[in-house]
Amino acid sequence: MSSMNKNVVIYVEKTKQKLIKYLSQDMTFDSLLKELKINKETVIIAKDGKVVLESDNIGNAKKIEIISVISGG
Amino acid sequence: MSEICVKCNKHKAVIKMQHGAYCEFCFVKYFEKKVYDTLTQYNLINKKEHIGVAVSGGKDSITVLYLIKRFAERHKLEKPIAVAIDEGIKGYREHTLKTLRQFCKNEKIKLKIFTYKMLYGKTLDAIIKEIKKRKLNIHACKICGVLRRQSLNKIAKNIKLNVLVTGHNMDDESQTILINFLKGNFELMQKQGITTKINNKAFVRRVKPLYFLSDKEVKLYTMLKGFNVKYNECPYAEESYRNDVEYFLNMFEAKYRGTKNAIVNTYIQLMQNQKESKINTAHTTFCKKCREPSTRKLCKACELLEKLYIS
Repeated sequence: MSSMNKNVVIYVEKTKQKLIKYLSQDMTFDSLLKELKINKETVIIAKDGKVVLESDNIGNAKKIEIISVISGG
Repeated sequence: MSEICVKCNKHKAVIKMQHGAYCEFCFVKYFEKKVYDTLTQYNLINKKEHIGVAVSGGKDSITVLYLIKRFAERHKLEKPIAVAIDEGIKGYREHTLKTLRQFCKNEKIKLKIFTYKMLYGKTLDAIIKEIKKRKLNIHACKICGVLRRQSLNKIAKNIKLNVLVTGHNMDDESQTILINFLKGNFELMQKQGITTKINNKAFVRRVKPLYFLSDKEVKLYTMLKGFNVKYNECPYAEESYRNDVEYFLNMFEAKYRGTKNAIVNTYIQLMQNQKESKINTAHTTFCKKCREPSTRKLCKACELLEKLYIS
């Protein structure tokens, strides 16, 4: 079955940015982080509120949160 | 395809560890065991000691406070108290302190808050204003760090603590080791570690139970436990030497998993031979002004405060 592209809401906690991206369901979070130039060691990914591995596929995610692991103080 | 936990072989994995990926249940167990093992293996806290936990309301201090409380209950140790410093940073510290107050209330932990205003007569905001007015080249993080370290030791002695637990984690520590190495600060490097190596009543012993856990692991733990810890950026935080080292280490860790762990473990092995170093037996000198321990006639805190005519 071929993968589909869809609009996904991405929230980057550190910069408080909200992005809407047209992404392939086959894309991994790793690739997404590379595209956004974010080091995976500095964040945790939540897909629709649940923590996922960076190697997981975006799949049917509606909202992706990129949560900063480093305190800003 | 999602990865399955290498430990239980049942649940979906949420974090990649050095030896495979863990699910949330196995990760929480691993995390807590790591903290309790560090506490026991390195004898960080003893019976009948008065335990203080230095807290800010951030992820590391909230986590360490929560686990020390449980460790103390399990081992019938004295009840820990939380000690916080309010530097007086408008728009920042009040938020983390709010989180902290709520957390301590829920966990029934006694919280003591001390302010820079109370300790030094001025808030950090006022000190920074003064620095700007005088066009002095002193970075906010430098003055804040020096005052924070000094005040925590003063307070700990004042409220008769035997041990002060801090939330320093593997990221903080690997950065510090590398910074001291890069700057050639061998003497300073010897003073670091899981516990302060200074046998002296002038210093309250500091211990770091999160020593072997990374920023990412601590953050994940707080999320899985449902602690209300939000990202909060200090308005004075700016580019520093430490930021560059942090960036470099994270870049390396992403490419070569286990880098930070290797740094802290190599450091421990190196320092084991330094147990009987000069530091342990060194004759302590005191600052002529505040009488806090210092290797110089005037300690760093008093020197900075004198520049600002505050002390």
